Amino acid sequence: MISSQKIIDIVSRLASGSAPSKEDFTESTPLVGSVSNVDSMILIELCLELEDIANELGFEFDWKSEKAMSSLYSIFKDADSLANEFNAQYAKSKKP
Amino acid sequence: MIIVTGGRSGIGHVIVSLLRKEGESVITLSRRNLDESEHISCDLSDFKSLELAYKSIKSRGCKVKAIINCAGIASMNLVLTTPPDVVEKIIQTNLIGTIYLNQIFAPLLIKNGGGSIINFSTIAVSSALKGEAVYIASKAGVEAFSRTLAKELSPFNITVNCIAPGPIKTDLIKAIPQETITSIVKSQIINREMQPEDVFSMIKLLLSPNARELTGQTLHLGGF
Ligand SMILES: NC(=O)c1ccc[n+]([C@@H]2O[C@H](COP(=O)([O-])OP(=O)(O)OC[C@H]3O[C@@H](n4cnc5c(N)ncnc54)[C@H](OP(=O)(O)O)[C@@H]3O)[C@@H](O)[C@H]2O)c1
Repeated sequence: MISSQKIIDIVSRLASGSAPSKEDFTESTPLVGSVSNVDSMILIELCLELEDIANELGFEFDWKSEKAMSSLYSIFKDADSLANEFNAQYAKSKKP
Repeated sequence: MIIVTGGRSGIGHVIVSLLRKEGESVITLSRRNLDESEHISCDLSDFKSLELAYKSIKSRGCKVKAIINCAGIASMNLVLTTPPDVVEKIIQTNLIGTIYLNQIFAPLLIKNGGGSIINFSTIAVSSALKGEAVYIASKAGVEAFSRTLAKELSPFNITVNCIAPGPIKTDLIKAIPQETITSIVKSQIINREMQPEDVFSMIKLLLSPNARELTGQTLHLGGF
């Protein structure tokens, strides 16, 4: 399981040194779209970190999605939706 | 570690031998089954097969610094006489396979802190060689894809380029008549039939630290 806060922490760490400060990220900060503070490089690094966390938990996190870049429907809409998607995939992997 | 697709025959085979001679550790990917730890059997046109290969390499924990994508197929035919299954196979292997390979394996280079991706096109894209339309369409796609991917991966210190050779005697072009080969060679700036070793020289150039600023390019071997 992962919390929205954990995702915010990862994004803040990855973004440290670039324009937005740590305080700029909340559960509802958009991770994609024109209003996002998160650039594509941070987004990819975030995915790779989530892949490693998923591997430690014993499942594969699949972040590819047709709507990945949609600011309305993306799993990257904000930290909340990303955490929900991660946890849903984790729960699914545990089903017999 | 360097990953070479199609590294068991033709141009790829020579590249792998020369890389190993220079002390590089290389893993080859292609469809054939070989009982060797440095080869992974994998079909480039199949996303799941590439994912399995990715997991196998990732589990070895080696640092990957380059991906050389030599695998490819061709079929000499006129557009109007090419059956749909052949069209699909060529696009699926050369273009879609290249897209899959690059998207699945690029994370290994990101984790390495940077590296090089080298895809293969052909001089036939520039010359619009008659009888190669579907193959050319697939490789034109590879060039455009590589140029755009270069932009997406440049923040990660990864370069993406294409090498576009003219005719090099391998199984791939055995059905092409010698007169056609001679006339294509004549259209190159350097009128010499190139060898896999010439491709290797270009690869060495692209892998060298001096080429870190060279990205998003298609390099025509022998000039066009
Ligand atoms: N030779 C030329 O004149 C020439 C000119 C311009 C460009 N090129 C390009 O240079 C590259 C190398 O060509 P080549 O002449 O060395 O060809 P080749 O001798 O026919 O070798 C092609 C390799 O690709 C592998 N391959 C084919 N389909 C595959 C698939 N679905 N999945 C995984 N591996 C696959 C094959 O291995 P398996 O059978 O084991 O899968 C084989 O090792 C190609 O991309 C080609 O388009 C060649």
